[in-house]
Amino acid sequence: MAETTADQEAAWIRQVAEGSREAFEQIFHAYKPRLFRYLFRLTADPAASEELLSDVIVAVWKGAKTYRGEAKPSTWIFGIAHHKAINLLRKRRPEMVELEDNDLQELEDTQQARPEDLIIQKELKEKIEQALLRLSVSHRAVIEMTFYQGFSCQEIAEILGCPVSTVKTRMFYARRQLQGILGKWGEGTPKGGIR
Amino acid sequence: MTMEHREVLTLLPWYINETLTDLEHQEVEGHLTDCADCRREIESLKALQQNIVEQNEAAPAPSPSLLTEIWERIEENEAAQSHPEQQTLREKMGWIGRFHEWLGEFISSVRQPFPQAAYAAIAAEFILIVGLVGLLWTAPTRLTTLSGPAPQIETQARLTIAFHPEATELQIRNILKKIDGVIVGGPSVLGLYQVELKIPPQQTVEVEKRVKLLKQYPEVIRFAGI
Repeated sequence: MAETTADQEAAWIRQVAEGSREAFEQIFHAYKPRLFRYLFRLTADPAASEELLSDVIVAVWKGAKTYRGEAKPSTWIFGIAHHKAINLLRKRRPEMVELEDNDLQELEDTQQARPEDLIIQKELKEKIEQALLRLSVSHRAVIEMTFYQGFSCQEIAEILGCPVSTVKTRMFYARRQLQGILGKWGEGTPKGGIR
Repeated sequence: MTMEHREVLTLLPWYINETLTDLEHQEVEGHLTDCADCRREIESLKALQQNIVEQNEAAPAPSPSLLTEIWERIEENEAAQSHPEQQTLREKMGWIGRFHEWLGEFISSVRQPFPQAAYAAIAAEFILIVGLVGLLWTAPTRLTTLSGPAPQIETQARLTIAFHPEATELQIRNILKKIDGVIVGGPSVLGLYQVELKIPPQQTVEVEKRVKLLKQYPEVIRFAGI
């Protein structure tokens, strides 16, 4: 599906508010892949991600009338998705949701290599995937929204409902934790990084 | 005034995804010409991004029938709103619906490989429960006479609980103490226990409160319902 602009999406939301099924389906098709991936990356559960995606899309249908256009449509929709995912995870794995920036556990080891430098083999990529899954949900959310969803720091702050400084701090600690986790697995840094 | 090294460092993830403001972008570019550390950091971040993109692209896709299901759900909700006397199917199903949802979660959470026999057992129990409930639902109310036995009424509220497989006996004892409950039945094939509370079933608020309390201990309680 071709990329859509924020203006086009905002127009769809206004049409949905007036009951347009066509506009609603446009939003669904535009957001389905990226929303599902985001939810899957947070929950690691395809069935739960699909249920959440369904909840988010239904919430868009129901809430279109309340959309005031102050936030970008993508920020508004991802805000709904993030909070629904957090609510689910809080019930299932509260320890992963409540883990916060100062709760680095035993993972701190800033002397270790940069984790990204290790991406030279499939095996190492899998380790990074596992390491990402061990991050708290709020840290993983910041990483996903930056590196895959392409949101700005300000937009992420709006989605999460926190200050920009918190987003930066979470990114900092997320990277530090990744270093710690991968360091514990005894991986070294290849000279010259990854090309 | 130029940015400090540390400040630039915090902006690099968004330099990579090209969402910095023009001013921030210029500041970072200016700093990069003199800072080898930040240039290395950028290489690392790009590699991390590449890895995350690949992981996302490898993620499964949602069901192709999802949109149809969503429309059905919306129509069901809207019908329920316009005719509040008509409950949704989920509401009608009550605890059976919740049990069904839990069963789905349970099956998806079990580690693979999952023995065929266990699937069969789950399916059998599920069919049995649905069948029995269906019978109860459709059966006419039993007639009683003054000389016949008095109908049995549950005097204590009961919960259905599944404990986490790794929960210790002590944890289970402690949690039962918290809700003032006693195991009176189970385990079933699915590992479900019947727990009796020392309060009448009419005290629904209190019963719900205890279910809520149980759910605060996911390391001990895998499922709790009325």
